[in-house]
Amino acid sequence: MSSSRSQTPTKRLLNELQTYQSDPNDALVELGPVSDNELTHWTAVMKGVPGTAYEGGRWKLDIRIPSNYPNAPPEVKFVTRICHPNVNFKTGEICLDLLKTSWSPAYTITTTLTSIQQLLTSAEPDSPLNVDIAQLFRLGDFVGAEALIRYYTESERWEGRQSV
Amino acid sequence: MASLPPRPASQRRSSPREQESSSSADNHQAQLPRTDSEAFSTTSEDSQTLLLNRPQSPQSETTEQQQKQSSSSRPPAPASDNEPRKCWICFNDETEDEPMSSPEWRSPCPCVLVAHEKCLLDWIADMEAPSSRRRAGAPAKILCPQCKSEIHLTRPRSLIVDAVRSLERLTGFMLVPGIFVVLGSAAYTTATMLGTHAVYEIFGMEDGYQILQPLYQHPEIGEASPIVRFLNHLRHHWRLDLGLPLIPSVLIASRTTLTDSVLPVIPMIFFASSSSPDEMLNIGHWPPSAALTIALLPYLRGAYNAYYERVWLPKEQQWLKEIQPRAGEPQEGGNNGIENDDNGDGNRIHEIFEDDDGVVEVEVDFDIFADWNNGGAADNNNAAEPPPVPIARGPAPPLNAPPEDGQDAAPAPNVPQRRNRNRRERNLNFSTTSLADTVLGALLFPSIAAAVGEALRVMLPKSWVTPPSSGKATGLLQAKWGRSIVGGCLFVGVKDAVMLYVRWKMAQNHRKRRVLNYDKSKGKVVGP
Repeated sequence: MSSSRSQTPTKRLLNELQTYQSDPNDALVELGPVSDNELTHWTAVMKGVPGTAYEGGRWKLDIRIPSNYPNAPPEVKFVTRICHPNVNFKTGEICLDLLKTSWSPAYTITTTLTSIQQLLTSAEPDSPLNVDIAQLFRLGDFVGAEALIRYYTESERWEGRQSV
Repeated sequence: MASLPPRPASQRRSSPREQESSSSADNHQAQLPRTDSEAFSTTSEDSQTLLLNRPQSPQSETTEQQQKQSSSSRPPAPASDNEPRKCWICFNDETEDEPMSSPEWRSPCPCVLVAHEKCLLDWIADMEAPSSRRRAGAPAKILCPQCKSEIHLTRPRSLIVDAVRSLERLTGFMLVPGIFVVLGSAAYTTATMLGTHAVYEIFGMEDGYQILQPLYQHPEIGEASPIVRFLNHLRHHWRLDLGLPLIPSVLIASRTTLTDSVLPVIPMIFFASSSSPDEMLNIGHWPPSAALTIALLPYLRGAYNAYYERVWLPKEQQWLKEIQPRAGEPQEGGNNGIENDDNGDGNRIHEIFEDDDGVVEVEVDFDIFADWNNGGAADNNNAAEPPPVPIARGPAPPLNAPPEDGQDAAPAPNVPQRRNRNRRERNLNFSTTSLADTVLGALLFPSIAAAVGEALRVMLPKSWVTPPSSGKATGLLQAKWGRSIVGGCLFVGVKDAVMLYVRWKMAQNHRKRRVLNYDKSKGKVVGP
């Protein structure tokens, strides 16, 4: 069992990476380990969903994979600041049950990121990490919220190297 | 939203909604894992891999279609298929298995997911680990992440392990109740001790010992087990067991208005349950018995409170109002009047007092302000320190034990009475100071009453305070308890009278305040 524990993440991560490369995720611009010799630290650049307030956005995400992955979920954080009720504006922490309680090994890094992208369009203002924008949502000020989101999406846009 | 696991987790960690949202989660999860596993094992099968790249293909129909497709195209027992089985946990397929170890493959649920046994066990161990973040309640069932059917596993059972584990769980459950039991019995013991003390204070050593005698009886040797002894004790002395801790409780309660409606009823219970009605209810007899006297104290308290409220409270509030800054001006008077009349809340007045002092006065008139702080130092201190509203509380006794009259008068003279609340005030002020004041005063009251009773004994003519040699007492003051009770009542009355005098005097002096002129020629302040 101990061998499986140490072996599983690496092998599985390589597997996932291979899958992603042969079959990229539409939600992402790029995904991969930060460096070749550190397979447990990935980074990704996510796209905003067209037709939403996050349209045209680019966010860099930081992904830390725990040693007991896939039994434990990866730790995903926004590096680029994003204006979203369930994302901490400063730290980038994401409030998503998939990343906490409802994780199961059946998820992968890419599917997790897909879920995070979906979170962008289906915020849950009742458990906010960003109180300001959540308050706008709760008060029903969707115009104001959208304007704010668009502003940040534009001004904070990740302009790093882009492979697409 | 539908395809998203809908619940940001940090807030509601245990997943009670998992069940209800399972349909959406199912779709989601069903979509994701399958996609991946298939994407993997069937990299050439494009129809399946598409799913991964269409996170927005959200409708469950799609998913279900896919599911059907996949399950039809891939029967659950993949061994019969020609494509290699693929573990949904480690994502390795059969071809990657080390030939030497030849791991076991398991298909624990009706759906297509298959996995290595060791991966499954590893995962299950993680789910069951006590430190796991999942562990929010009872050890949950292990469910297949895709089809949500339970994954059964067999393990050797050990009776001892099971017993110890359930014991552990039980201790976990009992922790909070246990703490309450410990705290409760500590409070009970303390209250009993205070009650005993009160009995001795009021009745003196001899009578007190007689009342409390049962507590000092040696257990009868014949009784075998401690439980029988305990039950016997309970049966014979439940009045003491119940009454003694009630003494301090009622003492404290009667300083508040919370029990105004209850207190008059308690003596009724006492009368009803009285074991020797002849003696207790011998109302015509003078002096009344101790029990009867004490039982009547709640009514005395109520009557005194009513009297005080009707006669003195309005005046007192008038006086208090007068020493407020800018007293007499319509606006100010109006405000405070309302406050006072509605609440009679000393504390609030106190606050208004400070507010006006600090803010309004400074803005309006510095001379008055200075005067307030210097010339009127006495006034100021008096006004700020002692309670604007001294409260009269009538007596209120506990069950069949010692007296406690005039609860509010109780605080020892050196206990600063910062905040008293009017008896009409329903919203009790639970600031620490007032709480400590109330409790301390209530607990000290028996001692104060006894002390005043002793003073009475010394000061009054001897014939009043010593029982006649013929035996039967002819006056209330001839017994220790009678003196204590009268002393307590006296203390309350005198204290209220003094407080009222202080109020009145302060109001008087307030009107006579004058600001002194500074005489430049003499270089000092001169009188008017």
